[in-house]
Amino acid sequence: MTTRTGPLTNEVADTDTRAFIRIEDLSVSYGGGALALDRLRLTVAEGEFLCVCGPSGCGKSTLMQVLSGLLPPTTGTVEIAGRRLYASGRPEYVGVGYVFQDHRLLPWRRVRANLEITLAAAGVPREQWDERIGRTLQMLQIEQFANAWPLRLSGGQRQRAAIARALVVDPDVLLMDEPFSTLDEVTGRALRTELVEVWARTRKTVVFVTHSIREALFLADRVVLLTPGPGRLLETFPVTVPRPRDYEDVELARLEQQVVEVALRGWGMAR
Amino acid sequence: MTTNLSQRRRRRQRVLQVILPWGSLILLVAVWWLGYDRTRFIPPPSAVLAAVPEFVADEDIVGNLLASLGRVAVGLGIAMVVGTFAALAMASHPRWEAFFGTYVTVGFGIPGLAAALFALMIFGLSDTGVYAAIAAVTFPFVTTALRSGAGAVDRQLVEMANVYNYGFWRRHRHITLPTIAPDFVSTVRNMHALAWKIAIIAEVFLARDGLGAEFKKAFDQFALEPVVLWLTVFLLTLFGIEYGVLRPLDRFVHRWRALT
Repeated sequence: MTTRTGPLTNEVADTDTRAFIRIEDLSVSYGGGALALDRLRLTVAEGEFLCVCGPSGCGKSTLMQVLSGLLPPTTGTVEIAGRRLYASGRPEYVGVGYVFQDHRLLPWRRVRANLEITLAAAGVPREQWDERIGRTLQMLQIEQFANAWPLRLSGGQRQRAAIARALVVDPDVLLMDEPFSTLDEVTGRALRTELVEVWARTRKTVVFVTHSIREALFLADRVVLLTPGPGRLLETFPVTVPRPRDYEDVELARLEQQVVEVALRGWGMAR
Repeated sequence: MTTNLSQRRRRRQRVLQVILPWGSLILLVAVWWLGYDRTRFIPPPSAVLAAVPEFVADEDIVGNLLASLGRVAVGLGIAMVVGTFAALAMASHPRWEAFFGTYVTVGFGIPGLAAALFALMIFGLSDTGVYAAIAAVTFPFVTTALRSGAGAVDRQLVEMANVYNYGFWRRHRHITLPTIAPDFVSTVRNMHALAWKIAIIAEVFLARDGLGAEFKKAFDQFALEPVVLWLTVFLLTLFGIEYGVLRPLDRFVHRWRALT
């Protein structure tokens, strides 16, 4: 395995000392008492690209809701950039960027307005809007669609706009919940490659949830496998393959095999 | 070949779209022309046409039209505000559903004439009475039409709004209102004609000017040509508002939809 230096090199972070997101014994149970997450412990380093993989119903989306400020934990604590979330026990504004599985743009507002409304809500002064929107749209190569209606864009363009909305507020953390799972294979690949480039430029801390191990390995510095629900940490895999990565990379294929083996055993599907 | 065929079909459809509305109008005038002398009092088209110059010179067409238009606008405006409020309340809680439900059911049943007479008894000869009559009759329709849309706010967009800290006002302005706007405009469109009908009836009893009052004056003097001419003014106004205001407004609130 080769390691390159330069901006696209991964560093496998020492997550204990440089934890940017710190999740301690996080449990979430819904009304009836069924656990979605069970004493999950996880740390994410600043600037790290973390992928969370797990079978359906393992609590991936629950984890994202907790991190985004929508869902207070039943027990346990969550810290982002040294700030403890849910100190009041209630949902709160965390200031993350969030890309959902579907675009969730306001369909009756143009792309630019979608970004402006989000900037206003984040309290960004109006003088900065033009520059920020221009820069973000350009980075995602959709500056020509600034005045387009979201529903007249292709699926890939909508998802780019959704990523632009997440980045335009300059968040500490970018949460992505299976953002490419509804796209066709080729568009998905193109967007994954671009996401890695955008991440390399912005150095955001990314938590990316997916059920695709291959996608996770292509993107991440580190892949975390969860158990079937209630979600617990099953295994962590550092990915040191240098970027830009190739889907057909031998090392990635070897890693994929290794992760799949662990997953099959851990998810109770081994034969 | 096929493109040629479909092109021709499309062209024929466009021509029909232009011809049919005019065709139905011409048919109406033809029936009038052929049938007026079988009725007791309907004046012939020629007499009505001959009365036009005098009508235009003597009558305050614009003044009366504006008087009626103002009453329709205020009455319908009240019904839209109250109806929107009631629909949102009904969507938010079953308690309000039950509360406003009674008014809506009763409101559906009120004949326009009864509403006008009650308004006269309550408010006397005044514009307030006309507003009240229009609002009382149209409000139940408005509430019912908006009720379903008010409950259809996309929860996923609300979740997005919560993540991004949109807050109460931004959420309602950018999610709730745009969600109900198409229903709102189509309701205004549908209620507009009904509001005019009630306005005319109410004006017969409650007003000294406006189209309803002019109908009554003309009819009391047995001046039948002006009755027909006022009716023409009324219909032209209805058409004008439908094509000049309401349809463009409808296109405006739907402008973001995907092209299909």
